[in-house]
This record gives sequence, C-alpha cells and structure tokens, in this order.
Amino acid sequence: MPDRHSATRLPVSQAGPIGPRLTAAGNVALLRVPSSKTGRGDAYAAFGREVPTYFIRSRHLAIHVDSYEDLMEYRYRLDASQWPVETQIQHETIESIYTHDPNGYMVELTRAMRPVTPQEDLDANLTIDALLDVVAEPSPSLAKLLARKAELIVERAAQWELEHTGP
Amino acid sequence: MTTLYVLDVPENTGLAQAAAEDPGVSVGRIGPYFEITASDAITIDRRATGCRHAVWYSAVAGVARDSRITQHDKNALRVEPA
Repeated sequence: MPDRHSATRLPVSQAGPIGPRLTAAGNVALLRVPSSKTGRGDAYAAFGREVPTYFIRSRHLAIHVDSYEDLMEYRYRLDASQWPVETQIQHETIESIYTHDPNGYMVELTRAMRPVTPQEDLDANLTIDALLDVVAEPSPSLAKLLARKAELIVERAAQWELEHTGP
Repeated sequence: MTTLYVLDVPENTGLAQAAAEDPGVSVGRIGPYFEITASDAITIDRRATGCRHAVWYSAVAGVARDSRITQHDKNALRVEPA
C-alpha cells in the first residue's frame, strides 16, 4: 500500500510563495465572498443556526507537511499574505496551523509530533480491509466495521509481529 | 465475554493501564494490540487514562462480534456483552 501521506506531501521548496500564488491564480476580486443568508458557511455551503459549530469546522482541507520547520515556513508565508494564520495548535499527536482561503473555506497545514510507526501502518491497512468487507454487505455501520476489524486483528496481528520483530 | 482491541502506541498506554485497574478486566496482547477482556462489562474512565479527546475517540481498534460499545463519550468507554 502506498504511503498514506504521499498524496498530500508538498515540500516547501516546491510550494512557491503562497500569498502571491493564491492572489494570482484565484482572481480573488472575482470570487464570491463567503456569505449567505445565515452568515454561517463559505462560498460552497451555507448552514443554519441549528448546525453545530464543530460540524461546520470539521469541513476543511488538511495538508500534511514533513517537519516543524516546514510548518513554520508556511506560517511565515501565510502571515505575510492576505490570509494570515488564525490559530496554531498542538493537538495530542499533531501540530496544526489554520487559515481560511479566499472562498471562506478552512485550510489546515499539519505535521506529526512523532513518526508514524509500522504498527500504525498495519492498523490502517486492517481498517481499510475491514471497511471494504463491511461496505460490500448490506447496511454497513461503525459497529460492523469494528467487529470485522477485531476478526482481522485475531487473524493477522500475531503473525505480523513475528515477521516484524523476528524470532 | 467482552473483548476490546486497542493499538499499542505511546498515546494509548494510559488507556490500557486504566483498564487493568479493574480486577475483573484482563489486559493481554495479540501482536501489536492490547487485548482487553472481561467476563462482563469493561468500563474505562477517560480521566483516569490521561487521554484528551483526539486520542480518546480514536483509540478503539476493534470490538469482538460478541461485544458492543454502549458508551463512548467524554466521561467513559463502556463495552458490554452483545
């Protein structure tokens, strides 16, 4: 299975200056300013008062960067642009910066606080295999996913450890 | 029988330790996973684990088919016989 982060890796050296790029590529003046009758949402979607704020904030693009230095490079560039960093947070396993793009859509750049371990790769693979099994059956659910994954853990986890730690 | 699987990574060790505090609960291993078992319900107090919310809500790797989660909120994780 390919590296789970490969699709979103963007070395700073290839990224170019963020502010000018967004300005030039986005024709910001022509973009619809994020607004709606409800005043909650962005250029893509509007939400009523009944929608929880945590749900609205959960809709965002998160892009992995390789290191703290890369994250800070993005922070410096964003802070010098029209879209400065609004929040910088160390979650339990990742550190992230956030801003909103010209469409009002939240964008997160994030780095892992420690390297991904081989057992986490195993766990991700078991999750995907369990998910594929569950969605092939009627009425998939989280409970069914966790039950199928438990079966895959029993089937594969001990052998995996033998192969990865030696006799 | 109630069985819960949790991946053995540094962020999850507090959860396994808190589970083991209950004399009715056994914490074993299968490969790189903790296998947490009990003859009846397993209840883990989140505040006893030291986990904050991101790790807490992503810690469950698997739940055996004869078991089901009946509570997983900011206070506790409870798994019972199905």
